[in-house]
Formats: sequence, structure tokens, C-alpha cells
Amino acid sequence: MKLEIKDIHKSFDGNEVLHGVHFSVESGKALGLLGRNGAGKTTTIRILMDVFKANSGSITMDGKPFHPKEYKIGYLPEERGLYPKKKVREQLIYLAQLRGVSYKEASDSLKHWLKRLGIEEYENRRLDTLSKGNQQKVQLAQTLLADPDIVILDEPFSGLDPVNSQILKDVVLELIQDHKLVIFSSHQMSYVEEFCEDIAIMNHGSIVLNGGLKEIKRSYGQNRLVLQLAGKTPEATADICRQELLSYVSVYEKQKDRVILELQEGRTKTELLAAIVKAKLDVEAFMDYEPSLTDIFVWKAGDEA
Amino acid sequence: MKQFFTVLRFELLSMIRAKSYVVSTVIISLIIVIGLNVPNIIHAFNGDDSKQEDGIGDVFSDEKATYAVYDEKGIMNAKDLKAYFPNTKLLQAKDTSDMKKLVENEKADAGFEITSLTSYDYYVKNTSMYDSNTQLFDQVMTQNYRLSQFREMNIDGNKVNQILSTQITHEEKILGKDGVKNYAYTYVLIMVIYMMIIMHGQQISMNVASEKSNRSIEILVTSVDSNALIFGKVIAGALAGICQVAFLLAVGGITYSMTAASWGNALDMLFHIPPQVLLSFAAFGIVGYFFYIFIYGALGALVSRTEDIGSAATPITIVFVIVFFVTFIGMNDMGGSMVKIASFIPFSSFMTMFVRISMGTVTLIEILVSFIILLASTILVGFGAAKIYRKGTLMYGNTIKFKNALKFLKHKD
Repeated sequence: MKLEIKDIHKSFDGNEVLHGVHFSVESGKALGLLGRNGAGKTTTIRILMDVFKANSGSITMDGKPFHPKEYKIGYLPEERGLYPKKKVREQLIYLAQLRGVSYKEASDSLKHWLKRLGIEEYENRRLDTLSKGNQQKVQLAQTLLADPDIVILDEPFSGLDPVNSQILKDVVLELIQDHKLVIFSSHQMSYVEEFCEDIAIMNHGSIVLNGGLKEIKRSYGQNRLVLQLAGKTPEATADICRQELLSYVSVYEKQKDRVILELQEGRTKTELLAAIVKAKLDVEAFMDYEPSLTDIFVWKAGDEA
Repeated sequence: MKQFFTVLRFELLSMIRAKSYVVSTVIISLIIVIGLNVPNIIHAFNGDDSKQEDGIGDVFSDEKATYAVYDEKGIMNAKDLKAYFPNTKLLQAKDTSDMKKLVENEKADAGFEITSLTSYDYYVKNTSMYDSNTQLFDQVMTQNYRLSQFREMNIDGNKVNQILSTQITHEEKILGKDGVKNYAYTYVLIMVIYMMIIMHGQQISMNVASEKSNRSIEILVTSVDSNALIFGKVIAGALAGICQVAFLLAVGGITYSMTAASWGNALDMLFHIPPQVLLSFAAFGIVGYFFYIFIYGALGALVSRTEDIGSAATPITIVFVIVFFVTFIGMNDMGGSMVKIASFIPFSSFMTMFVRISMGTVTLIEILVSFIILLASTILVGFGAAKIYRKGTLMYGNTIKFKNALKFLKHKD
């Protein structure tokens, strides 16, 4: 399955909040939908789920118009809740039935997922008697109960301890391996990098970066190298580079424990390495620079973007 | 459609299983059963005597009292006095202090010292709000005085009494409705619909607002059509309310059928409601109920916290209370133009038209026109409320003002 969101525009009271949003998701590959608070991620997801209509643009599944009612969609919103005074079983079965699942199927699926997430003992307990972490797991069970084809997870790790995070990681990986169509949104970049092959970064209602994560990292790392000199601070390393290696590199960025250099035009990594040896610099680390997703996110969606 | 029934079933079960619903139904049922058994309970406390079959009128009679009488001048004839108080024990006191002792020692309930043809002293240990002894004795003394005066004038006092006490009889030929007889059940039914709307209106608002407040709406809007949600909730509320009212009416009806004799059938006017009245109550009541409940449901979507419901719902509650008072005033003035006009305005017609049907004169055309206006208005309000619900449930922050909410009706989705 391939879901394509094309040129979505959306306005509220004459104020345009989405300016031509576009990205695509394929089953078996998770998409990381990233963006700062207020970037338009939730609005985009709500349009995808037909909560409200876009002013223009289209959403297609395998080239045909996408109608959410024809698919089972599991959605875990960032701002989430269930009925606090109702039992876990009662409300999860209700929500599954709303998605077209029969009572028996919902009941069987409920038992499976509660067990899978380690919360089977709470099946007949009121939700508000559970800890926050267990409530989160109930939320996750709700998302997956109807065996969805499309899974949208918004900050699913929020509130989970490391053990439960590991359980969830395994579940997400299984979903991907089962060729579900997964849209994953989180501010915890380590999780995004772990699960997602593709990313789409939103800023102020537009997609500012979109594509395969590896390719993006490679293109942002191109012509950039990491240099760490033994016993030297990044400031000192940067000064040395400016003095000794100016014709080969410029200092791109100073980080906590290293310096990012950018090759001057026409210069190669090999030439730089020879110059470093010639300058008798004591090298601790020298490698291609691969930016972290956090770096890329800040570049594209930060205040200076 | 399937989603609507899923929502309906879930909401209905939630409502009827709610503690407040069960407890209120049980408590009101108990009140009805105990209330309708009051004559039996009083009889049980007063003991099993011959008065029991006489009904409520005699239960509160004080004719079993003991009175002390001191008539030094012999103004009253003892035989006549006994005739006026046939079931009362009369003690003749020797003097004033003897009479006081009888009253103080509670051997007599009260004492009468006759001082002249037209005056007496009344002695009682403790007065109470419901002491009618002096009224009784006043009548006795009046009768005695008149007869003595007639005797002095050589007039046959008994003949005079006959003339004076001649009763004028009349037969009532009701060409329309018996407003007096119908008042009782009309009042009760109006109160029923009033209480249902007030209670369930707040409940629906609370239900909607709590889904926003606990964020379950985030999942719901992506799982189910918002029309199915709001209509499912409102109709579930209606069914729960109707079940409760029907149950309570059944409890009342069955209890009264077993206790009617103890009331002397005095409450028949309350329980023997004509079928056409019940039908019009059902038709107008149910549609009017929906009219208001949809509005309350939409108002619940305008707030972000359940604590704000009170202030958001104040305007419609005020309107509803005014409608109730207009109806109540109309019940005492069926011919007034206020009640006639109100019987066509959707906000009030479900009550006022029903009152006109029950107690006044109204043509079939008027009933049909009023019902069609009410039904059409309710359908419009229903879809408008669904639109406000759809937009309002995804907006957080300060309470959305009603005039801004009305703008939602213009927006396309």
C-alpha cells in the first residue's frame, strides 16, 4: 500500500494553516512525521482521517482516492484519553466495535493485546485505578485492537518506563514487519531514527524536508567531516584549523566535544588528511560527518530556519 | 447507521447502569409507594377501629376528644351539647378550678367555661396550629343563641334553621374539558417533563464536556461520525428518561390500584388520565425533550472543562424556566393570549400546547400546526447541534461564546 498526501491546503476562519503539505507512506516502512508544536501535524492527521476536509489537495491510496472508512486505522493521538470511570474491557470493545469489529473479534483481540502488553490483569478494572504507564498501554491496546492496516502513533513512548518502552519498540517493529502502514510522530529523535526509513519535517504548516532518512543524512553530511584533536577543546581545535588548515576546510560547527569541518571547494578528504599529518596534529577522531536527526530537525524547523 | 446503534447501546447501558440513575429511580419509587400508602400507615398507627373504612376524611377528625364543660348559669342544655358532639366525651366540671385541673392533668383535651349566651372561656394546656375546637364551640354557641332568641320572639327556631340551611344545588354540564379535574394530572405531567429536561439536559452537557476534558473525544472523532455520536447520546438519554418515567408511572399506577380504597378514590383524577391526553403528552413531550436536549448537548461541546457547563447552560436554562412559568400561569388562565401564542413557539409549545389539549379548547388543526412547527424546529436544532458539536469538540481553551458557535452553522466542513 502506498498512501500519498498531495498539496494539502487547509484554512480555519480565513487563516491558512497548511500550505501544500505533501508526503507519502508505504507499508512495511514507517514514516517519521516530525515538527514543532503547532507545525500542523495533528491537523494533517485529522484531515487524513476525515475529521475535517482539506480546502484543496488530495489523498490517494495506491493511486485511488483515499476513503478512511474503507480501511482500519489505529490512531494514538498525542493528547489522549479514554473514559476514566469505565472498565478497560468495556470501553476498548466499544471503540473496536465503532471501527466495525464484531464483539467476539474485539474480545479475542483485546485478550491478545492486553497479554502482549503485559496488562491482562487489568481487563476488568476501571481505567482511573491504573498507573499512568499502564493507562498508556491501554491506549496502545486500543490503537491496535481492530488489527489496523494503517497505524498512526503520536508520541507513543510518552510516559513509559524503559521496560515498557522496550515492549512498545518490539510492537512497532512487528507492525512494520507485518507490512502495516505506519506513521510515527515523536520528539524523541532516537526512536524516530530507530524505526523510520522515511521522514517528513513540518514547519509552520509546510513540509520543509521529506525523503529517506539515510539519504537525507548523507546529503547533509556531504563534504563535512568530524575532527577531534587529543587534549584540545573544540574551540582550540577550531582555532588550529583556521590557522593550519584554512585552505582545506572551514569550520562549520563546534559541538560539545568535536568540531565539524566543511571541505573547501575542490579539496578532498585525502588532501585534508595529508595536511593534518603534515601539521603534526594529534588526531583523536577523524571521520565523515553524519548529522543526527536532531541536528537536521533544528536546522529545518528551528528558530533560524 | 451501524455506528449510531453501537453508540446508542453503549451510552444507554452507561446511563441506566449509572449509580445516580438507579438510586434516584429507587428513591422516587419508594417515595411514591410510601406516599400512596399514607392512609394505611396512619390507620396502622391509630389502631384498627371502625373508622378505618370511612376513608381519609375521618382519619384527621378530632371527634374522639374529651372536653370539660363548666356551665354555672345553665346556659347550654346538656342534651343539646351532647348532640353537637356525638362521639366526644363530655365531662361536667364542678367549677373553674376543677376544669383547669382536668385540662392540666390531661384528663380533658380542652375546657369550655360558658360565661354568657354569647361568650365562653376556652382552656387548653398547649395551643397548636391546628386547634379547631373554638371554631366548633363557636358554632355550637351560635346555634344555641339563635334558638334561644327565636324562642323569646315566639319564632319556631327549627323552621328558621331549615330555611337558612337550605342547600342550592346545581348540576355541571361540561361542554369542553373539566379543567378542575384535569388540573392535577396536567400539573404532574408538566412537572415530569420539566424535571426530565433539567436533569437530563445537565447530564448530556456533562457527558459531552467530560469527553473533551478527558480527551477521549480525540479517539472518538477519528472512530465515529460525529452525527452518530451526538444523536446516539441524545436518543440514549431520551430512552433512559422515558424508561425511568414509565417505570415510575407504573409503580404509581400499581400502588394506587392497591390503595385506592384507603384514599376513598380521591386520587382517581390523578391516575385516570384519558388516552388522548397521554398520547399528546408523549408526542409533544418527547419532541420537546429532544429540542432542549440537543441544545444542551451542543452547549457541552463549547466548554473545555466540566466546571464551565453551569455558566454555558445558564441562558437556555433561564429560557426553559420562563417557559415553565408561562405554562403554569397559562394553566390558571386558559383563555389568555399568552398561552395561545406560546403554544406555537417551539421553545414553549411542547408544554403549553399540551396544557391547552388537556385543560382547554383547541382545534385539531392548531394541534397539528404546532406539532409540525415543533418537529421541524427540533430536526433543525438537532442538525445544528450536531454541527456545533462537531466543531466545538475539537476546540479547546476558553468557553466558546454561543454567538461564535452559531457561526459554525454557516461553515462547510
